[in-house]
Amino acid sequence: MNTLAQTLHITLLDDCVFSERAATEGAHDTLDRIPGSALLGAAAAQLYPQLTTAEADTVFHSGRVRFGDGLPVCDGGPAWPVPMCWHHAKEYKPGAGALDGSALHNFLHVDGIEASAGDAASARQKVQAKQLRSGYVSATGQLLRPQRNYRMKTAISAQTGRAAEAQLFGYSAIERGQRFIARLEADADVDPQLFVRVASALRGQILLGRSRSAEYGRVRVTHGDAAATALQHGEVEGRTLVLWLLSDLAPCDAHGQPTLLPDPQALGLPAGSRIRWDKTFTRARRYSPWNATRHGFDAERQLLMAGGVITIELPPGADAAQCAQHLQRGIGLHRQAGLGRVWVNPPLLMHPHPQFAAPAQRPAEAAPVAAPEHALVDWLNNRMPSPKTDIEDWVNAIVARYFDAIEAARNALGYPDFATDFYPSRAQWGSVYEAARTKNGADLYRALFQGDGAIIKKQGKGWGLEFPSSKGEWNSLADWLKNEIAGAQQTCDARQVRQLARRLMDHPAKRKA
Amino acid sequence: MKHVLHIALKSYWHAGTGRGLGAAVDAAAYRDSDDLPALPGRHVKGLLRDALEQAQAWGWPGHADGSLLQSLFGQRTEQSAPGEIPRSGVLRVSDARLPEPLCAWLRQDSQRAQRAALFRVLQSTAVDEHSASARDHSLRGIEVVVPLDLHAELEPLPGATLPAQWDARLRDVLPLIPAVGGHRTRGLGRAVLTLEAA
Repeated sequence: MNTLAQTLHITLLDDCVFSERAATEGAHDTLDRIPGSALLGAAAAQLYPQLTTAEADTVFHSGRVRFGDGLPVCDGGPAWPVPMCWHHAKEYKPGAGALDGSALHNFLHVDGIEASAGDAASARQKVQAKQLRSGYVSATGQLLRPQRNYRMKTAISAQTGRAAEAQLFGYSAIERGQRFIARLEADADVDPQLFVRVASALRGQILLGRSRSAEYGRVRVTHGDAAATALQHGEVEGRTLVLWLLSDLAPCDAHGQPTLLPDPQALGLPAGSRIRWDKTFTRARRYSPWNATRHGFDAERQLLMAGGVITIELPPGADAAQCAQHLQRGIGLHRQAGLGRVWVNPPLLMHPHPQFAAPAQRPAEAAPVAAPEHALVDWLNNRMPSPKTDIEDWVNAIVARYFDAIEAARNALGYPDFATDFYPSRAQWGSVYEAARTKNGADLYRALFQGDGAIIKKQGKGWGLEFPSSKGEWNSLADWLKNEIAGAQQTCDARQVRQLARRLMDHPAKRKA
Repeated sequence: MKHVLHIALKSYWHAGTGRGLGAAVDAAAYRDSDDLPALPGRHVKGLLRDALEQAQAWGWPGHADGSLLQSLFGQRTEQSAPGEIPRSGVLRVSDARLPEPLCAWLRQDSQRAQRAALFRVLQSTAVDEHSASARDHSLRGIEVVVPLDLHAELEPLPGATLPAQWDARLRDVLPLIPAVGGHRTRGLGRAVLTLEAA
C-alpha cells in the first residue's frame, strides 16, 4: 500500500517540555521523545484557520494523516523504544552505548535466563532476570537515553518582590542540542497538495511543548528522505503476528470505548483472532491531553506504552499477510497524533537474542573550536589565580560531582532519601585526611589508592559504591576519585586532598549530632 | 523580526536554582545544558513585564493605560474573571546567554577549567545585633557568576503581530531594571539593559 510520507529532522534549539501528564500534584516529568501530538498541534496552529472543515477533519482528526513521534536519531535513522520482551541478567548493567546482543534474552522465545554452564545443579537454575525498560535501541544495537534536566522555579509576587506563596513548581525538560526524527504520513487517497501544505507547516523554526513564550520550545525542523523512517515489516509465516509498539497505543473495544485490554476484532482483525497473553508484554499509563486552543483538557487517554509487545494468533484460514498490511497503517484511537504505530514481525524480535546490524562508521570528531576574539577570553586566559582560590575552586567542583554521583547511585539502586550509610562515612574521609597530613605526592597516592592497605579501594564499603554516569556508564566511586584526585600522574597534592577530606567530613549528613 | 536584548552585568550575579551543592554552597547558580551561566528566559520575561507594570503604576506617559503590557505579555491568570480564558501575550523571550562563538569555545571538554573560572562562591554570615559577632549556624555560601555580557532574543510568537513601536516603548522602561537575577536588592546582578533590532 502506498502512503504519502515525509521524514522530519528535528533539532532542539532550546530545552523542550513534553509533560508526561498534566497533573499538578506529584513530580513533573517530561517524555523522552517528541510526541506526535506536539507536531500536530504546531501544524494545526498554523493551518486550521486556512483549511476547509473537510480538510481540517482529514488532517487533524480522521487518522488519515498521522504525525509520528520524534524519536532519538542514531546513524541517520530512528532509534525505537526498547521492546519490553527483552530481559537481561540482573548483574548486566546496560548503559548508553552498544548493547551486547548475547546478554539480552527475548522472552518471546525463552522462558527465563539459564545460568552459565557449570555443574548439573547450577545449570538447572535460572538467573534472576530484569526487564530492559527505558531508552531507545537502534538497528545497530546502540542504546540511547535522551538527556533530560529538571529546573525548579517560583513566581515572584509583584507586590512584595519576593517568592510568591505556594507557587514553587518544577519543569523537567529534554535538553537542547539533541536531535530527533519523526515521520509524517498520510493514506494514499489524501490529496498530495494538502499533504505538502501540512509538511510545509513543519519546516524551519517552530515552537513545541510547554512554556513556549519564554525559555523553552524552539526547535528547527528540516525535511529528509522518507525512506529514513520507513519500516521494513518482517515476513509473515504461519498464523502468529508480533506487534512492537513504536508509539503509545490507545486500544478500544468493539464499541469504540477506551480499554487497556486490546480487542483483536476492534483492531480490525478477523473473528477468532486472540492475543497470546503469555507472549505479550505491556505497561500502561493514562493522561488527559491539554488543548491550548480550547484552553481545556480533552478526554483522558488510557494507553499501552511504547515499547510494548503484543503477540496475536490468527484463526485458521486467515490471510495473515493482509492482516499484517492492515496493521501497518496503525491501530487504535488517536492515530492522527502518532498513537498506534506498530512494527509487524520486526527482525529484531525474531530470535532468542537480538541480532544487530553492523555499526555504521562513526563520523570523525569535530575539529576543536578556536577561542574567539573577546574580552572575556582575554580575561580567562590572563587571570592570575591565587593558590587558595584555585584549591577552593577545585574542591568545590569535586564536591559537587561527588554528590551528583551519590544521588545517581541513590536513584539507580533505590536507596531511600534518608539513607547515608551507602557512601563513605565521616570516619573514612577522616582516614584520608590523616594520610594527607603526613604524606604528599607519590607517597600519598600509594597510601590512598595502591596495594591491599589502600585507604580508597573498590572492595571497601562505601568506596566501592557503583554509580551511573550521565552517559549511562557505570563506575565505582574509588576509581572515580582516583581519576579526579590524581589523574594519570599517580601523584596527589596533600593540600588539595586535606581540603577535600575536611569538606566531606563536615558534610551535614555525616556530622555527629 | 528579531530584537536582541543586551544585558551588561556590572557586578557578580546569581540566577537561582533552588538547589545547593553539598556543604560549601547553599545556593547553586543556574547553568545551561553546556554548563555555562545564563539567565532563564522566564526570568527575563518577568523583569520586562515588571518594568512595564511599574511604568503603568506610576502613570508614565505612553504607559499609563497598560496597553503595551497587555499586548506583549497577556493577562495575568489571577486577574481574569472566573471562567474567563486569560488573553495570551504575543512576545517570546529566550534565555539570555553568552554570544554563540564564546559558547562554542567554552562548551568543549578542554575548556572545563575556563567554565569553572566563571563561577565564584561568596560566603556570608548574619551578625548578631547584640554581640556584634557572627550568629551561630548562619554561614551561607552562594554561587555567583563573574560580570558578563548576555544576549536574549525577543520575537513575536508564530502568527502574532507585535504592536507598532513596541521596541521604542519597551526601551523607555529598561532603566527601571537596574539589576537582574536573585538577591538583586542585596547588591548582586547590577546591569544595564539595551534593546536593538537584530
